[in-house]
Parts: sequence; structure tokens; C-alpha cells
Amino acid sequence: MPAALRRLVDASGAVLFPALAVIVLIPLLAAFAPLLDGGAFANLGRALAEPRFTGSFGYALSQAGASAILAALIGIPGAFLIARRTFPGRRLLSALSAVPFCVPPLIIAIGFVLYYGREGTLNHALMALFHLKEPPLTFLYSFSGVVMAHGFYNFPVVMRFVGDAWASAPRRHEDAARLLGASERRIFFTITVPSILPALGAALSLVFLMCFYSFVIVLLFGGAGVGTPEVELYRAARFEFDRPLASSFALVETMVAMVVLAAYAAFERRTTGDRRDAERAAPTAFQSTGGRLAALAYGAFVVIFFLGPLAAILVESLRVRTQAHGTGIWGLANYISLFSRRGFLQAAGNTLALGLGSALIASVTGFALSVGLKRTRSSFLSRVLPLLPLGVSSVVLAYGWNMALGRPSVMALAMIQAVSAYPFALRAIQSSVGLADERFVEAARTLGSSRLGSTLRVRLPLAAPSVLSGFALAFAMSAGDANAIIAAPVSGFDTVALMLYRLAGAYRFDEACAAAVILALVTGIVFFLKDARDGII
Amino acid sequence: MFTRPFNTRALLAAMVLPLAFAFTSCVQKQDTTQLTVYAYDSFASEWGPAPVVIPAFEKATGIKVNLVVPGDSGQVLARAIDERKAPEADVIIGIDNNLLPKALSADVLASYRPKAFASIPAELVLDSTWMVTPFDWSSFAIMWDSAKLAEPPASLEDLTKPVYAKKLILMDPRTSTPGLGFVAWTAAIYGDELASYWKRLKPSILTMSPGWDTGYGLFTSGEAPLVISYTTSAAYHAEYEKAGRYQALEFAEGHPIQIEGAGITRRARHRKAAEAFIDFMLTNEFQSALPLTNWMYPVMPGITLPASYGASPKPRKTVSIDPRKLDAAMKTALDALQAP
Repeated sequence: MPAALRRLVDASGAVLFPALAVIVLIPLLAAFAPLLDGGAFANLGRALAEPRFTGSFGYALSQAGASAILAALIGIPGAFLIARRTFPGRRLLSALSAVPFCVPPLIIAIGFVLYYGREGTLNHALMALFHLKEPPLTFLYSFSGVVMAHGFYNFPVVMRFVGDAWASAPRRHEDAARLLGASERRIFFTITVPSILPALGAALSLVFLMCFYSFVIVLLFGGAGVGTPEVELYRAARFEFDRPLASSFALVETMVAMVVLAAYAAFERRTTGDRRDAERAAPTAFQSTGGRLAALAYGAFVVIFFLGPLAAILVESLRVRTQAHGTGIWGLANYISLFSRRGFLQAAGNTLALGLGSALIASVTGFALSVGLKRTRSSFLSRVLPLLPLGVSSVVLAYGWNMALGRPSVMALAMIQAVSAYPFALRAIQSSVGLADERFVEAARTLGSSRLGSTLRVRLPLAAPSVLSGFALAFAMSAGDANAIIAAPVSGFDTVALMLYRLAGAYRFDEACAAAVILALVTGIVFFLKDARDGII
Repeated sequence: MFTRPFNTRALLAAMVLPLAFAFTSCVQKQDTTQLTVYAYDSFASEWGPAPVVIPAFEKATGIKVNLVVPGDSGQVLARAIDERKAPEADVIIGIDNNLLPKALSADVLASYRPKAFASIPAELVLDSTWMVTPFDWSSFAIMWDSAKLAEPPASLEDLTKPVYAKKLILMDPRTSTPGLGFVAWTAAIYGDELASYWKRLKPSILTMSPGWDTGYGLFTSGEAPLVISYTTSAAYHAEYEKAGRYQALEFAEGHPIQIEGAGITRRARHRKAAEAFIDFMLTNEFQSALPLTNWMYPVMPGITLPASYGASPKPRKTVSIDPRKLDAAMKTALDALQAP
């Protein structure tokens, strides 16, 4: 066997790339294939001539841009507080960064209706407080409603990214500037800002990407006739049977996402580079009453506008309504009627099976890939490969699998969800495989263990805790995901997330809230796993 | 020295087992005395017709029904088209006059003329080839919440007035039959002026929900005082709430009607059972359950309507368009909404 070939076979990449290719490339190519039906350029040209097509991209880009800016405006003060100040509740604020990943968007959407709707908690409170006849907040079901939901939902991402960079901003440089007589203002703009900019850029591009790919929130609040490419692709494929149009959406949105992803990767590389030689500045107590008050106001803002909708779900789930609009009593009747619903237990079992299946795929490929990446010297590969699945949406994958297999299937669902969860699971796993001491592996190899043997017997046990965390993270993301199963529903295979979508759709909010709480308990386990949290950001 | 935290083999086994479970859970049992029926959300919900008529059918025939709910009617048909090569469903419920051309051109249905076909009034026969058998009908109408809005609109044109800004809930015509029905209505009245009408209507629309359930839920929970629904929705409120808070508005320009039907899939695995179901749809037992559960008029004559149906106005004028022109009308309307 020639040496080059041997190296190729040895590299676990040879096993892994096909595996990754199967679960990403097959559906992706199948999603693009209908474009060729009658000429790719003719089909793309027809799509571009449709007002819906251009309108959808215009809407998605402007909506994602506005959402990212809103998330930054809310997130930056929080980043400062986490990085530079000590106060009670600091860890809690920092832990909110898990919310965008382990609270499904569907739950956020329900919370928003309950809280910001015309008949919602906030409007009722404001009407009572100011004796108003009409509800003052009417932004839901519009462009600003979608932006509000996205901005609030994603601000913890900005907070965490920027907060980390801020905490590790080079203290020495600031001290030096201060010694040389620079004003605090000048120090801020010439030293602090440049050191957090890459992190801000990375956070903004990630939030932009997540909002660009938003599906459930736009489906529920999108307003009349507009939708992100995700929503339009879903409608074109499932209801209009216009496959060339659906494929045009898939192709163009994947291209846009790749550009955003490239920006993210570029920003992120600079962020991590700075972190290495940083001397961390310890956060200090507040120096003035004004600062304390501002922080308090910020805390109140976050509690009222961000935690409020989530709390509203919990409250609503425990309130039993006697009549359609009657005031209710407290109790567990909503949970009881949910549990006794026909098919609930089956759906719970399906959620469990699907979640475990996709978590298995994500963590096994994640482990194998992180071992493989450790062997490659290419830092470009090790940085870009794990990110690529972020640029492919689950709706595109679902559509692709439908095209490839001819019908929706549970295995396809598991693979779609594994791909979506995989970048995050991989990071959780990588954090430990990267750190594990190479000497143990080398010792095992010297004692005659094969490469596979040493990986399974030494690396895997060493990495087991973090592999489990990655597994749990992938499980939670799969359990909370409704996108794939809405886009590719399998007959007789309901999950709790799909049930939640239906209940919310039918406006059975009492039971929907109970289902949301149950689902949040499952997806929330990630909150308590440190490695999994590291995987998230 | 590190201690081995996990038994590798046990860990692998623990990961593989659930996958095996995932595989087995998607294999379904088959039986000859079974029938799989696809129905839309509100038909299958616990206050809909299904909990009444499905057990009645099972009792009368001894056939066990497996009821599947893919979503609103549009989604029911989409699923059936997805699976046309190997259908799960034997019967699909919820193909109306507007969805019919799509169902026919997708070639998912097989013809069956029920035994009692002659009793169905001619104007309610959906399809002369009997791919679809009608079971109920009603007129589309705008429902009005009189507690939230003082002045109701009196025509489609009125809906475009600034006083109704963000006051109207519609449904997406691609996924919901009332949504499609509203497009058909506007197309029947405005013809070539359709695009300009929808441009003027746009500010009045609060949202286009994916299905009727969602939209009507938004309406009754007070998010907007106007919603596209049926004249018979007023009967529903008359039955359960005394006051006439929710009323169906009659527009002088006329109303379109919706006729709902069901059909047998082309490659149905339980053809005989499916035929029995279609026949059962026209029995007194099934038909008389419809007014109080599906809130529609039964297609068979001679069914006594409940007193609450007095609240449901019978529009003096009926309008319609050729359903084959509906696709183009829908596109026109949606494109008009895209325009800035």
C-alpha cells in the first residue's frame, strides 16, 4: 500500500468524511437537484422574477439585521456588567446565555403571545395602570413583533460573547495608557472597544444567521404574506408543490448563510487569538450610586421584558380556567388533561427515542471528528469544518431528505437534528478531547495497542464526561426542535414539540403552556451541565 | 492516576439501545379490519365530529379506525400527495370545492359513488366522477366581535377602510381552506381588480395564520375583532354563549360557499372499509352530528337543525369562481401583499 494512501486510510477523516457527507451532502444535493429540472438558470431566473422570492430575502435580511442590532443594544450593557462588575445575580445573568439554545423558539413565541398580545399580561397591566381603553402594545404580528421576539431571544448570545472578550481585554494596555495620562474616555475608545469588536462581530453574525433561519416565530407572527426563505421554502415545497421554486429558495438561502458564516469564522478567529495572552481583570464592585441604579434598571428591564414572557408560560400552565374567558383557579388540571390526551405518552416516547437517536449520531460523529481534528495540523480545517452545519438549515435538510427518500422518515429526522445540534455538541466534546493528555494514548500505542484500540480504550474514557455532555446537549436541542418535523412530518410519529406546535396553533393555550413547561424541563437539563454550556458559546 | 469513569462497552450499549428503540417504534402493525383516516385539526378535535362519528362507525361496522391529523385541510392533502405511491391513508377528509382541482391533478384519489348518492342535492355534488363525496357545507363570512368593534363593515370594500387597520385575521390560502375561500371570494367580486384590492386590504390584515384553528383562536381571545370564517360560526356562539357578541356579517355582494368532502386514496390498503366509511358519511347518524360538532350544514336533506342555527344568516346571494382559476388568483393576492 503506498504511503500516501496508507496515511489517508489511517486518518480517521477517511471514515468520518463519508459519514458527515452522508448526513449533510446527500440531503443538500437532493434539495438543490430539482433546480436542474428544466435548466438551473431558467428556474433561478423565474424565481428571481417572482416578487415573493426577492421580497422574502429582503424581509429576511432586514429582519435579521434589525434583530441583531436590537440584540446588541440589549446585550452590550449586560456584557459590561458581567465582565467588569460584581453584584448578586451575576452568575444568573451569565447563565441566561443558554436560553437561546435550550429554550425552543416555539416556547418563546407562546410566551410572547401570552405576555405581549393584545390580551396579554403586559397590556392588561398597562391598561389597568393608566386607565386605558385600548391595549397600548400592538406590535405583535408585524415586522417589529418579529424583531422584538428575535432581539430579546438572542441578546444573551451577544452578552456572553462580548462579556467574555471584555473580561479578558488586555488590562496592561489600559494601565499603560492611564499612566501616560489618557482619559478614561480615550482608553475606552482606543483600547477597550478594539478588543471587544471581534467578539461583537462574531456575536452579531451568529445572531444574524439564527434570525435569518428563523422558522417557527415567523410562521406564527410573520404578518400577512411575508415569510423568511425558510417559511417560503416550506410553503412552496409542501403546499404548492413548486419544487424548482423551493430549490431556488434552498440554494440562495444556503449561499447567503455561507457568506454570514464566513464572517462569523473570521471574527471568531480574531476573538480567540486575543484571549490567549490576556491578563484577566477582576470585576469590581460598583463605584457610584448612578452606576448601581443603572444596573438595577437594566436588571429590571431584563426581568420584565425577557423573563416575563417565560414566567407567563409557567403561570398560565398552572391556572385552570373554568370558562373560555373566566378567571381561573390554581391547579394541575392542565397537566392532567395533557397527560391524559390520546397520544401524549406515545409522543413523549417518540421525543425520547428521536432525541436519543440524534444525540447518538451527533456525539459519535462529534467524538470521532474531534479526535480526527486533533491529528490534523490544519487549524483552518479544525475551525471551519465544525461550523459548516450551522450554515445549513433543518428545513432545507428536511426538504432534501424528502426529495432523496421520496417520503418523510424518522431516521432522516434524527439525522437532520443531529446535524443541527452537531456544531454545539462537537464544541462540548472538543473542549475535553483537546485537553486530554496525549501521553496516555502514546503509552497505550507503545504497549502495542492499535490506533482504534487506543482511541476507544484511552481517549473515549478520558473524554466520557464531556461526550456525555455533548450527548445531553444534542438530546435537548433535538427534543425542543419542531422545525424538522413540521417540514417533514412522519405519519403516526408525533413528538411533544410537534404537539406543542399544534396545541398553540389551535389556541389551546392552557395545555400548550403545560406542554411547554414539560419540554422546557427536558431541554433545560443542559443548563446544569457545565461542559454543555461551554459547547453552546 | 486516573480512574476509569465509565465502562466503555456499557456506555456504547447505552447509546445504541435507544436507537434500536427508535427503529422499532416506527414500524406499525397492520390489520385487515382497520381503516386509516386523515382528517383536518378541527374535525378531529375533541369537540369536533370525530369523537361522535368515529365510534359510531366503529360500532356499526366493526372496523377499527386509525385517525391521523396532519394539520389543516391543505396539510392533509399535502401529506396524501407526499405518500401517493404508498399511502398510509385509506380515506382523506377535508377536500373542498377549492382544493378539488389540486387533488384531482395530483391523482391521489379513486372514484367511489356512495349508495345514497341520489339524495344529495345536485348543487352540492362536488365532483361528477365521484372522486370526492360531499358531506357538509356552509357559506364563508366575516365574523364580527361586537364587544370590541362598534361599527361592523358591510362589504369587502369596507374592510379596506382605515378604521379597520390591523383588525382583520385571515388564514394563509396555501395552508387553509377558509384562507383560500377568502381569496376565491375576493376574486369573484373583484376579478381583474384583484391585485389592487389586496394592496388596499393589506393594512387591515393583522395576520395570516397557518390554519383556521389558530386564526379563530386569535379572534375569540380578542386579538382582533374580525375574522374570516363561516355563517354557521354564529350558530356555535348562539349555542354556547347567550349574548349575540359574535355575529356573522352578511355582505350584499354575496358569499361563496364551501362544500367539504372526503375521498378514497388510489392505492388504499383497506378499500372495502373505506367504501363503508364513505357510505356511512351519508347516514342520518353521521349527518345529524355535523351541525353541532363541525358547525356546518349537512348535505343530506331532512336533517333537523338545532335552534341555535337561527343565528346563522342564510346569504341571499351566492358567488363563485372557477376553482381552476384559483391558483392564479392566490398568486395575485400573495404577490400584492409582497409589494411595499
